[in-house]
Amino acid sequence: MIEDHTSRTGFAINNGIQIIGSGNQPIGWKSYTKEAKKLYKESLIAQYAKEIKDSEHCIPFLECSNIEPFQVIGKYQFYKSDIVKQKDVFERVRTNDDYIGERILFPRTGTRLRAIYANMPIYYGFDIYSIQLRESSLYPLFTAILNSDLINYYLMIKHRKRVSDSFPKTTMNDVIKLPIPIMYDEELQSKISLISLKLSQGELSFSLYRDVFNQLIFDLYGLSKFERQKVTDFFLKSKKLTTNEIDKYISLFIETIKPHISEDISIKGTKYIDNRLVSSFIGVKIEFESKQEKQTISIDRVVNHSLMQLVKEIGNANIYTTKDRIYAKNSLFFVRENDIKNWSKSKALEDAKVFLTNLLK
Amino acid sequence: MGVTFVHIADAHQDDLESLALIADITKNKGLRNKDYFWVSLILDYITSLYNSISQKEKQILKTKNERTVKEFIRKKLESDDTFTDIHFLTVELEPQNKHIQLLGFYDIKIRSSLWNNYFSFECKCIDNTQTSILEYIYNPNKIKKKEKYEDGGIYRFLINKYSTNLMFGGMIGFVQDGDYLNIKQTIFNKIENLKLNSNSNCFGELSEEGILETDSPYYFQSTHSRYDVLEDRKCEPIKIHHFLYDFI
Repeated sequence: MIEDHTSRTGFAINNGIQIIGSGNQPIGWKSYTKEAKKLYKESLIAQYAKEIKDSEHCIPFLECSNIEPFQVIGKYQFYKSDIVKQKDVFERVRTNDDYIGERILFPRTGTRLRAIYANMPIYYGFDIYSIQLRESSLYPLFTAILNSDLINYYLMIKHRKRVSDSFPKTTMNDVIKLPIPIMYDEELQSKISLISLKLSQGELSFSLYRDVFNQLIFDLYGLSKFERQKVTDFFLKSKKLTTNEIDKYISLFIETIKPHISEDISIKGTKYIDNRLVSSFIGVKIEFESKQEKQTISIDRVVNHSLMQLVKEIGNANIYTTKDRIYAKNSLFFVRENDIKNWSKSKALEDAKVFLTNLLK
Repeated sequence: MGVTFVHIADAHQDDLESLALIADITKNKGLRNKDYFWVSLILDYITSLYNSISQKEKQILKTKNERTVKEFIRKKLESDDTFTDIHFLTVELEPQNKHIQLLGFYDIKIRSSLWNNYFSFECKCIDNTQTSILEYIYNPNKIKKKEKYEDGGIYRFLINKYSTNLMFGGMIGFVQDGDYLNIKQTIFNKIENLKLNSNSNCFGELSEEGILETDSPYYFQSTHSRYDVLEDRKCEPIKIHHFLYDFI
């Protein structure tokens, strides 16, 4: 699907341009001080660009910081329409055709992939890629896919080069290899495309529509309930849990394993929160009670024991490996740091699955 | 001093030994090896799936693009919470088969982390042409890249290439055009007369019980003798579960 009408290879992903690169530096550039380099760049920009658009300076030059999901933000400069005549300021200039027509732009840096749809002439920085599609009608849908939590999750898990600093996080190859859904549900595609267009035109707010929009992308890719939850929970911000949230974890865990447990066994969940160390810990006990046998070990004793071991063994080492799942006769214990990421819904489903898989081995 | 916690997600031997202490709590002991339980469960899901397809969806599925129908099946099955969250079943499209020498790719493979085996399905778009029916069963003269070879959906199970060493497999035909009953009858006739040869070994014949029809007009079973042509050995017979989806 990712294809350029002018390309023989089939891929139409291009890099942008750079203000002063190795190809158009003045003589003696290397001996310039940092301040001198900055002044030179500023004078060149002042010579070629305008802060306010006019009839002559009408093409915006976007940098990574100007791109947010679906939207262009912040301040940017305007340049003249013939880029070939501006090689003093821009390096890696190709032809004017490379900056006109429909395209999707997205930066290769930043904590997540952000894409905008452009259908007017735009110059864009070297850290921004542009994609052209053979099927023009797919632009809104593809912009939506790139901005989705699902694709961001996939890139993060599978392709991300580094989590922080300015090294490129997403490469051309990563985007070329993105899984494209088999599309047969035209109604769903139209719905996503319409929302994408409205988000691009500012008629809808991305922060308000994010959940609805992400659910539609999940539908497009046909994700199961567990997979949806896993992606959603991946973007949870770290925080300590409320007792209600711990109860939800326990309920979901029990609800998932219950169909596989004998009817004459009752399952009971107990929680314990320990705040004595710098990191707060949560212990959860899942007890399987039969009429014959009763379990006596309490969850606070298990958490205490785990923490004592922890304090005893840390010593001078700065890495401590611990099991977060402990089995006893008729009981299962979980001891983990008090962070929503450790006790999310997807974690409850995953824990239940691992428990049952091992139990049935 | 920074402390990093490395959580071990998978069970180790100690865990498995501890788990043995509470293994009695499970409802269905030995579930991992109960093929008959999983096979009938998956067949129920496939039957319900077909019954839930709306007229509007049938129009979408009336396509020569086999992948569209396969993706539809995957999405539909995995949107059922019982399928994924209770039975931990997953659908894989076009994964590699398990035969050591005969490389191939299943159209649909259904498996569960609670089951040791898997259920593979071969899918075929069918119309009233002879070729499409041969493709469903056995085509002695298939030509690809100017090379002639034997192939066919059922044939792949009969040579032990698909569902290798398992005693069950599935065929799903998407009938797109023609007279449904005529197509079904032609398939029955061809299955009843099926007889294959390899190194003077006969295989592929239908068992004495013949084709087993069920309450559902879209589902039937056939059991065949089986022969691994590459390893030159007889295998246990295989029961093939057939679904003929009517998209006409």
